[in-house]
Amino acid sequence: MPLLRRLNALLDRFLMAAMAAAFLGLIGTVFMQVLARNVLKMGMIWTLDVAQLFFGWCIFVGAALAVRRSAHYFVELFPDDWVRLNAGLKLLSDFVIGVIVTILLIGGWDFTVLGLARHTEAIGVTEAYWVACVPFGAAAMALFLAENVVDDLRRFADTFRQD
Amino acid sequence: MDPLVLLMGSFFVLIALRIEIAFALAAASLITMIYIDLPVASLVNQMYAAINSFPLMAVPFFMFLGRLLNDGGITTKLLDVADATVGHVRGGLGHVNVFVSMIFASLSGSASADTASVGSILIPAMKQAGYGAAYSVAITAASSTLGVIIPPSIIMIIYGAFGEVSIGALFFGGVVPGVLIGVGMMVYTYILAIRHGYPANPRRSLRQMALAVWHGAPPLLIPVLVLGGVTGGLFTPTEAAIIAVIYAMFLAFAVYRIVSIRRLPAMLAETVIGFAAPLFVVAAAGIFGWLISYLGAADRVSAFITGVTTDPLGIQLMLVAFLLIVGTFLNPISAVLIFLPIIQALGDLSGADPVMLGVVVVMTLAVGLITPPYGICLLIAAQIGGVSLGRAFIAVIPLVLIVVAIIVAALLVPDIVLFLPKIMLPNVFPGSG
Repeated sequence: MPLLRRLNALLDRFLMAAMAAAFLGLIGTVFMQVLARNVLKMGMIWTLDVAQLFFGWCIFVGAALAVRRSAHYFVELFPDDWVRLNAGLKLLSDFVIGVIVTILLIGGWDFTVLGLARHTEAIGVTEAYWVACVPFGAAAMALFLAENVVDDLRRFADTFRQD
Repeated sequence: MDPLVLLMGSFFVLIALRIEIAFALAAASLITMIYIDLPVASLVNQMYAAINSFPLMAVPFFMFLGRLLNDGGITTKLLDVADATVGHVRGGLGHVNVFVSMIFASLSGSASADTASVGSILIPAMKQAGYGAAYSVAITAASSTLGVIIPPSIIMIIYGAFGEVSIGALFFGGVVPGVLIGVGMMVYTYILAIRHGYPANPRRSLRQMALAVWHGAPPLLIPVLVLGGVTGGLFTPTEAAIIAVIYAMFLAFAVYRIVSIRRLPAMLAETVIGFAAPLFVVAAAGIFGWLISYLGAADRVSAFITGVTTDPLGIQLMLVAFLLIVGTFLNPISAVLIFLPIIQALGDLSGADPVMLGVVVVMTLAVGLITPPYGICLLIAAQIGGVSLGRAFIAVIPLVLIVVAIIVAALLVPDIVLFLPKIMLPNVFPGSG
């Protein structure tokens, strides 16, 4: 477990830096597009493809980072002081996330392999680079989820010890 | 079992069991797809296709803009402008609260960013000046809902991108209702101020007022850039957002210099997490929305509604009532994405203009930001003000009624919404002039 925690901390740091760079890339690409059209009076169609590349990676990897921080939206129906029920529901949530992550990992991999044979219109690069964000993000989610599950199991067990 | 009932039922059960909304959407879709024998692989395709959208890129840009405004010290400048202009009216800090939210709304598209930034400064100041704690919390939370009504608005971007409605027209459509709600809240504040003896801030001299406006003027150029660029056909809303971001970065890092450029990587990464969560909901809602359409939900809801009433206003009021309930437990982005096919079917059925419908939907869902259990703005403000959620909710009810009154007024007189977009973007309304 300490190894997983250390690995995830490292991965988190790397992904945060990569996402900062990707988001800056997204800002720069769209800004270049505006400049090209309005100032240089020329079209830069490739910027659309590149912007979508950064955008997709930001969303799927950002969603993985949000799993680690429990930053995804949820509806709280039960009061905070129903500790055991909430801890149990958190475990159920981990299970559902696990199922979806598995689908994204397997389906995303197949989707990426299919993308190898297709090429983007503007820059002619294989589409796999674009859709690979799905299995990559899912793999990161799986690692972060494993850490959450251990913590949530401990929290759930603690509610019995408190009795 | 009816697959549509399975889809909706499993989604509601899952979110009631505290499953994250994005994963609940995907899981409910997965269960239904297995049940009706659809290939599970299309879940991934549809999720990716949902975020493969250029208009949607405006969302992260406007979120980053909100972050720059907060961290770059721009909010403080705006507060000074608001204080200089309306602070001297009876109940001054309440008016400043509403007015600064209106300005903030015109710069960023996020309500919760407004609550956190304005609330952390104004709620303690209002309590110290003798304003009721519950009222201070309520006015802060309620006025920040203007963030999603007055343009630019993240929810309008999502509504426009997925509903194929002009985002520019939605932006302009939000201006008049947003201003009316703001004015309504200021009138309410004035009445309360007289009843409870709330003070007014000292009136500033003309020179002091001019100085405050002068210092606050640079960020006020942002709405001019965004709306002016869109109206003039220079930029799409996404491109206008990027221009606003570049300008706000220049202000934050080069002009005001309250935040160091060394903070930029952290600000960028934190914004990615901030927008990835709602946009992952967008991705998951892609497959859910597709299934809703595939299973013919819109037709069935339309048939049900027409069984109750065929009066256009009646249909629209039923839609508003439904969305008010939905908004209490779902955030507006999820609600728009999940129910868009049904919303638009009912809009068509009642002959509502798509722009008017979009603005009314956004205003209605904005109410959910201040009503429990979701009520994120009320939660943030109550936490800052140290007020129980129950007391805050009672105090916010009159302000909710103001918003609802403007929604009903917009349904009765659609030109409240359509007047401005028809002037600014006439090509969106062919045959209306």
